[in-house]
Amino acid sequence: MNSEGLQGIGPRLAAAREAKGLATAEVAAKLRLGVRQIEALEADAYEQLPGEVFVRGFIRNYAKLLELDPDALLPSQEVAVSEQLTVPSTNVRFQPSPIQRWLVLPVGSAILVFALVALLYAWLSSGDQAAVEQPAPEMAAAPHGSQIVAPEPVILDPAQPAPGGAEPAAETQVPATTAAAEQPGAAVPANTPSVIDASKPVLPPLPPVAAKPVPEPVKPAPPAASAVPAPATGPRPAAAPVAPANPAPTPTLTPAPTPAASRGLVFQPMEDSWVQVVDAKGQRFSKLLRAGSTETLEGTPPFRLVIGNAASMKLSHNGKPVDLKPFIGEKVARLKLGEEGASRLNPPPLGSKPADGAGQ
Amino acid sequence: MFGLLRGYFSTDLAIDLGTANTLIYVRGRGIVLDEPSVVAIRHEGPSGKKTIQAVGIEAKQMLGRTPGNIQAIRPMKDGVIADFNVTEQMLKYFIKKVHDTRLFHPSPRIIICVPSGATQVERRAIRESALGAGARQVYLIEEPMAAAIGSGLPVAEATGSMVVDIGGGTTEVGVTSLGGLVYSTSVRVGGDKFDEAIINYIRRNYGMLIGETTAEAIKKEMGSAFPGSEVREMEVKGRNLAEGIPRSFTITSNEILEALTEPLNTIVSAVKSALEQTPPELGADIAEKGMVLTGGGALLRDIDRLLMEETGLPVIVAEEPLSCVVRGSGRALEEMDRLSTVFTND
Repeated sequence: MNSEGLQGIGPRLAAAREAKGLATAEVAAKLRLGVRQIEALEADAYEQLPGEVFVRGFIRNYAKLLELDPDALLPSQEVAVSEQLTVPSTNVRFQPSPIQRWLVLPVGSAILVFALVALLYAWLSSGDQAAVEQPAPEMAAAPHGSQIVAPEPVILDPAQPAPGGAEPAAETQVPATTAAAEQPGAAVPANTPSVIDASKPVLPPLPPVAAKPVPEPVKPAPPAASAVPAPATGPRPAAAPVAPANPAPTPTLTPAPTPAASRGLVFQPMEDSWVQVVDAKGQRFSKLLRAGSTETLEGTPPFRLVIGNAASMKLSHNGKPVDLKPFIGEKVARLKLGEEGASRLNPPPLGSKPADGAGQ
Repeated sequence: MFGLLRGYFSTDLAIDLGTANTLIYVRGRGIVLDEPSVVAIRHEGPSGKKTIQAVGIEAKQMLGRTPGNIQAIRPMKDGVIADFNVTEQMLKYFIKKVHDTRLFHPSPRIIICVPSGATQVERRAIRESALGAGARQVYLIEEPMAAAIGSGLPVAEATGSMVVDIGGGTTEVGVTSLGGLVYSTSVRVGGDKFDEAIINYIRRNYGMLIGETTAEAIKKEMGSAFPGSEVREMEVKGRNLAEGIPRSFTITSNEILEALTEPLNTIVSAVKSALEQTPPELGADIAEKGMVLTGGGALLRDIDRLLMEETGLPVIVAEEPLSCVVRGSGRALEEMDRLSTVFTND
């Protein structure tokens, strides 16, 4: 505080006060100041007072009280303004990056859109994962398991299974045969660490049957189908390329001894309904089927099906009509459809009930 | 590009756009303009075209004395814009006046004061009118903050300071600490309301009608806020309402004090409520140092005594109270480039 100019004013004020016969306490009460402050003023001890503006104001008020002329008393002075306007601070910046304000909106929305797309993709592919998680051990055992996830939108056309199917077939046969040689129940889980627990219950019933997988597919008869569990289908892809498919909607093909000819799924929706099919090799098909149309699909069984508006859907597999009623949740049916029959999908992870056979 | 060029030839301004007076501070030069916020507009002929007849002091002399085709307008009312177009014209005139160059239209950066109680719409209006008057960029500063800076209060320190700015249209009460406003309030009572109260009092008690200019002269001559030892008298001329004839009569300072009681009470209660709302730690600082009065209202005789008696705190009248706000804004202008906390955002 620049109080040099104010030196000497205090004693003059004190003298004027005494001439008027006033006590310090009286003056303090009239000026609404503390006695301590009045004493400091009179002693020129300005450092004990708040600041120059206030000191000058106090002196002015005091002088007015004592009927002195404050302007004569106070040195004229450049009118003070605050010396400092902001809190002194070190140069630590709260926001070091000088992001342009106009950039925030476009960049922010771009990030948001990107995040949404990523989320959507993650959700879709997790849907794939769920569909693939359960595929029977033979799929998981194959080194191509990872390819299943690849979102190949290729429709399960008849040509596709041929080259693709041959390979996994060769390999998948290995676990099948080894399973036949030794304890398959133990061998299969060992080969398939990635298969989730839910798939395990499928295995136990197999061992005895797994030994004779080859004749299996040949029998289309319902009782046989229910008897044969999933892993038995292992060798089947091998057979698939042999018969280059018959895409026609052929319900009459049922008794055909060659499994290849009757691998078709035929959808006949009465109303518009959405269908998603994932076959054993992970090939995916999804489409909104229009009412009255007929859609035929071929692929490697077992299939995982999600059928919307299932009540109005007529489905036949290998020529045999499939009863969807037991699988319909809220309008949507989820089921796994193998050679041996249909079973419930997801919600109870594996109902372990093979449900009704396809032929019923 | 062209704007940049024009900006180069323009000086930055701080403007106290007050209800009664407009003051302009030019960066590096100080206060260069102090004129009443009055505009006289002439309506020309049958085309109805309007032209500016006079602005500032000249226009103020016309107030209440204009013929039919001239209109003397005070475009600001209660601290905010009442007539947008006229305000814009007035600002344009003042901005041109403080710029020497004739080559370019001035396009300065402007800091302009707004009452702390102004609504968003009112702030926007002030900003827009400054932009319309040619400003390149407009910053708003709240009046209590500007007044505190201009009166030399230690605004940046961690200590509470209280400022009461009694302007023409509004009274602003603010408590500052650490470079910002802790509390601020604004009541729409100021010099104009004092004049109005005097006019009403004289009409009621004397049956005489006086004009605003006369009322202002009475206020300046013998207005006081606290009963003093001496009683003054003044002869006033006005129109007798009953007779319809101009008459003169004598009025005393005690009567004026009585007339001013109501608006003064509003100010006192605003100060008291500000003290109530102030955090106790800052209240203690204020009790130690007192409050500072600025603005034209601080020149009303014994208004510091009144506040002292009513609050029991020391009250100081700032030096040169009329220019505190513009000096504070000017100070903010000088440091505009490294200062952001004292400006308001909306």
